[in-house]
Amino acid sequence: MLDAFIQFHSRLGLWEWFLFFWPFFFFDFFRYVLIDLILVPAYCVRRYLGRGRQARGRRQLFHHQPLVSVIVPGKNEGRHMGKLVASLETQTYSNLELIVVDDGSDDDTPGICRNLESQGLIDLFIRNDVRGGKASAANTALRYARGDYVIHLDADSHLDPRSIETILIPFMLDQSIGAVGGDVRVANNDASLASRLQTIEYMKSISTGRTVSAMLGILRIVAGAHGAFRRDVLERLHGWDVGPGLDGDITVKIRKLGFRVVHEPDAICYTNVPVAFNKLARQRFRWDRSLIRFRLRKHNDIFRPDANFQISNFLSFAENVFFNILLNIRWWVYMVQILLTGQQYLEFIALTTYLLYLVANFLQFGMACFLISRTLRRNEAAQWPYLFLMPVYMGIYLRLVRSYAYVMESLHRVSYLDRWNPWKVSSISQREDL
Amino acid sequence: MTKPCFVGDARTEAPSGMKALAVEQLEADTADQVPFFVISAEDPHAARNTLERIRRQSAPSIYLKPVVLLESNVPIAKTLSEAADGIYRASNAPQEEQRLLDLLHPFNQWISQLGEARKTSDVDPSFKVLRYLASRGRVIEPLMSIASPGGYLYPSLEPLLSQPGGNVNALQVLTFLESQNLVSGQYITKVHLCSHCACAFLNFKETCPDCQSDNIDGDELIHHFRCAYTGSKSDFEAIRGLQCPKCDRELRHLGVDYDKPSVVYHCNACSHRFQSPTVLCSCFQCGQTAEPEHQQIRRIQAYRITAIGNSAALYGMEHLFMRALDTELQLWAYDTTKQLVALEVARKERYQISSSSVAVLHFDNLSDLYVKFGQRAGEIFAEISQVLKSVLRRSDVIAAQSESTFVLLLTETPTQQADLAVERIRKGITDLLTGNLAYEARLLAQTHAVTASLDLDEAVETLVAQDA
Repeated sequence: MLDAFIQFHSRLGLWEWFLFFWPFFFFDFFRYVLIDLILVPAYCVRRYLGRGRQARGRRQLFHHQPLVSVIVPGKNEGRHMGKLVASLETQTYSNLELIVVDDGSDDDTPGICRNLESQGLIDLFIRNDVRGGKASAANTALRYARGDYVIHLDADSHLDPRSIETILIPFMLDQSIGAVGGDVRVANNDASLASRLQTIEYMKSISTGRTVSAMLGILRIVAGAHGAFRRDVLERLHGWDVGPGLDGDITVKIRKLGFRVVHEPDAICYTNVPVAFNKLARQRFRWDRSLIRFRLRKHNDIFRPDANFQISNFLSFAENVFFNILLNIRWWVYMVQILLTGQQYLEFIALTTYLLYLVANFLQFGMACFLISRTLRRNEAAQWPYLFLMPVYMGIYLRLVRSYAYVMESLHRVSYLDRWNPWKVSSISQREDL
Repeated sequence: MTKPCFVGDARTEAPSGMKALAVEQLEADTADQVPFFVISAEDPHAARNTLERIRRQSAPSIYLKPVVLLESNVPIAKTLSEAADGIYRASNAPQEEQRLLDLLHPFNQWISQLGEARKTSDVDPSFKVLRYLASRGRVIEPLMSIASPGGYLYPSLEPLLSQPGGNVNALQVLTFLESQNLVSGQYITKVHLCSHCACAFLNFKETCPDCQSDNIDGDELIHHFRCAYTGSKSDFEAIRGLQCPKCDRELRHLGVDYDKPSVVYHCNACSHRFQSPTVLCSCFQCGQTAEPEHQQIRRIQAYRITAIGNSAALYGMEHLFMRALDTELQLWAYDTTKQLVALEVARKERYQISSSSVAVLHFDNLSDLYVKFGQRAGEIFAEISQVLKSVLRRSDVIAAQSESTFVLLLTETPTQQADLAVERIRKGITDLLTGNLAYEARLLAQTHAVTASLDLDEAVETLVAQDA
């Protein structure tokens, strides 16, 4: 078998090699490995050289002590609140107010939160009896936020003690920054195979991916689970629009206002990810649909060369659309091509592709560990043996889910039927094509 | 029983052809002669006063006698009209008189059923109420009124329970009668009363949970479905209706394009924001503030006399105490005792060897015992009877003048010894009530030598007057 495999490769000419493995070298290797290999060390060098500036930002922050509003909208999240509140109590930056909005929970969430409010651990708890959707809950919290900065958190997550301090420093150093994305890591990384794979995925695509995107000036999402915003900017936008995908949507709107959006890999939020593959598929189905709905429909003006045209926004969207939608189509084209032209070498091509992506994954994981070395946890690094499954997880499982989501949203606009929003909100969004 | 009689002071004028009397002139026999009393309603205060003085009398034939108000130009308050038995329109006197005679006839008929007992004296307020309820034969309804600190009053019972030093609480009396199954209550409503002073005038207010200030404002939130903007109602208020500050759309229909998910309060005193204001209530009378759950809640009922109550009212209340004494000691009738005393006087005058005494006992607060101990009062009365039994000899006579006034004829006993006996009774009863029940017994007693000059009625009246 091994001999046959070596023979297969030795017989391939350069052209044939290119013919069989073009997608990897021209797109994935270039975008996700080569750029990481260049920009992650560059980021670390810049961070090292800029440590004095960072210290100045920190001094400014503690000198001015601006009030920071931590807003947590959610439904049926009462059981997570204790841990979240405890992680806020241990923050190095303490001038905080915590506003929790309960979006029509039908469990014991109101009781738990009222109790925490009476203990003074929640500053304001707003209970909405009728569910209005996540955006309305976030906007309710924003309406009562008094802080200069607003940090949006998901209830099922908790923060590293230095998180808030770290996420605020970029605002001190650059007035043009409108939003800072915090790093999101997996809290329940040992829970299941799915959560282990997501741990690696988050390190690659959030910790490294978003840091690199921010360096390139094309970061297009600040995670809903952990993002900091200038309150004046949010108020100019009158808050979030109807989701799903409201975090990506608001980031685009902030960019359109001309503000910069950056990522801060050392401001860490640990979140609970789905532990079962079917739940994970449902989550990704929701996330992936928003690409069609928001990038291609709602914000397609970014592609129009008019007076509001901004090259960085155009590149951000172009990169997103290219690498997610077009490369997804390319994958299917490639599959057809291989089935037609390389049928007799199918197992060798599959093995080679696997090995190429495996190497890429090792390199990316190494870069991620290097980037977040100061905050890397032992149980995160210990997930490396699961890198062997990553080519299958990302290359097949997630790709199938994504393809299905794109097709369903493009053809059937399924996101408008999602029960994630109340039906009244969904029906208006659909009617008005929002 | 021919013509009604006008009752009032000299200042008020009786309708023509009607006999006028002052309250002080009222006697059981006079009352028997008239079908009803008429009082002037011109001065509501004076009218109430007269009515109270009639109802405060102890003879059933007087206090139960129907009282009607003489109509005047002044409108009559409901509390007053409900307290009286009717209204007399003088403009149409002959027909009016006949109408009232017919209307009030059942009351008089009931009073006449009492026979001679209608001229005796009823002191216990509960018993008076019972007889009143029996004679009127109707349901006594509570009336919501700011005139009563408890928020409700029973207008027809108020004059009956009025006392110069302050009224007996009608609700307490009715509760006692209900506990004895003499009346039955029917639920009307509930009332919150101040836990300190039982006043019903409570100011319920929403306050800040942090500083207890009631200077708070509520913000009604509006959620616009289309753009997810959520803010206070004031954010949306436009010249015409509601307009979204985010997407400029007009908000037309609640539930279709917007809803109101909640209310958020803001404290103007301490800037605290909250959703659940603390409800506190403060009393208008004593100023005390407390949470509503710490205030008293009282049932307000309408009352109707029961069959047992009816027969108790008619044949004497079969007073628990008297019954207990009767079982233990054989209670003599007062009139018979008067005759026995007269015999004793004659005997003394005839032989002039020894002396006998009469002791009058008056329990000042016997009815409080009912109110306090309810049905268990019977057991206490049995104990009191035992005390009397241990002191009295077989040759002594005990009689009840009223439910709380008793006359003892102690034969062959000089007053000094009689005093000693009374002291022993007083001590025994005091030990029993104060020692065991922490209840302060108030027993008035006076001894008299049996002589020709002794007037038993006068002796009793003097003692009871001391109590008043």
